[in-house]
Amino acid sequence: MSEVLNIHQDNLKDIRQLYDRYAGMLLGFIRGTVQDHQRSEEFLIKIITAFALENQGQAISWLKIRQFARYKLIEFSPVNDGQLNISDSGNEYLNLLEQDERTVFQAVYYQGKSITQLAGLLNRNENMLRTQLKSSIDKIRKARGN
Amino acid sequence: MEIKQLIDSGLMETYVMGVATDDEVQQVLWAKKQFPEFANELTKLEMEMEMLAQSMAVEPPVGVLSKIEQEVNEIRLREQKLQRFSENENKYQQAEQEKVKQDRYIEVESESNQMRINKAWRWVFAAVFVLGKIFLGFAIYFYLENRQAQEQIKDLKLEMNQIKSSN
Repeated sequence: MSEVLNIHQDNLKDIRQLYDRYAGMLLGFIRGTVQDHQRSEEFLIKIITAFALENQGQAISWLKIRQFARYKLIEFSPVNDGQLNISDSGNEYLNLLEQDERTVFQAVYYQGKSITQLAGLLNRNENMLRTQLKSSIDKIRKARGN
Repeated sequence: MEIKQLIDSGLMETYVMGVATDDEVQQVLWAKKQFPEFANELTKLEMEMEMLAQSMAVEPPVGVLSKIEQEVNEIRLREQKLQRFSENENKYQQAEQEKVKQDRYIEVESESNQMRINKAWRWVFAAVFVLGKIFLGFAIYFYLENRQAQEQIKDLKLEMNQIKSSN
């Protein structure tokens, strides 16, 4: 005998809204972090499922869901804090950045490296890295017309 | 620190990138509350980060949504089963506890012939007892008095008859 699923219609609607708005952005973020298409899709399913179940009825923002994904990705595939794994993103905005800026941006954005960690890895001054991160974001904003 | 310096410090950027330290997060939240200009810049930056993420978005393959819905369904169903199981478990435990309680205590509503009354009644019973003894004493006293009086009357009647016959 098949079992009756007790999932509420409103919940399904919420999941679809969450998916429509953030699934593409999340997959882009996950691919940039994991750099493996097959695993990225598996992680996307796991992350959206977990987020939908844990954040019912709460306000959602991209920063919140991205941060959630970052913690989940560490849980699914622990990263090596002692190394940087930067690849060519192929994104038009990231390609506008200098090599150093792109490294800093990608290390922070995709790999979640803190400024202190990055300073240790790159053997650079923290303030300089902060400035590079800011300038890379400013460049992207400018290119986008803001 | 002036507001311009704060905005240019890169603090907002580390915050929106999600790599700010606890102190930096506190600083951002404080500045957001304190300076409307800072709050405004932060909102703009957050929106920019979302736009950037949109520009780097990758269309998920067909079937991903249905897999997510199926996964959510399965987890919810598991949770419901678990909840039902724990409810039944609780009921069973409560019933067990009730049974243990019943086994441990003796039924108070017994078939005893004795009854319980308030201690204040003992003074009433004592007074009734004492008064009973007094009345008994009086009854014996008046009984003997009466018998003596009857005998005296009998003697007097006898004397009167003797006097009458001698006259």
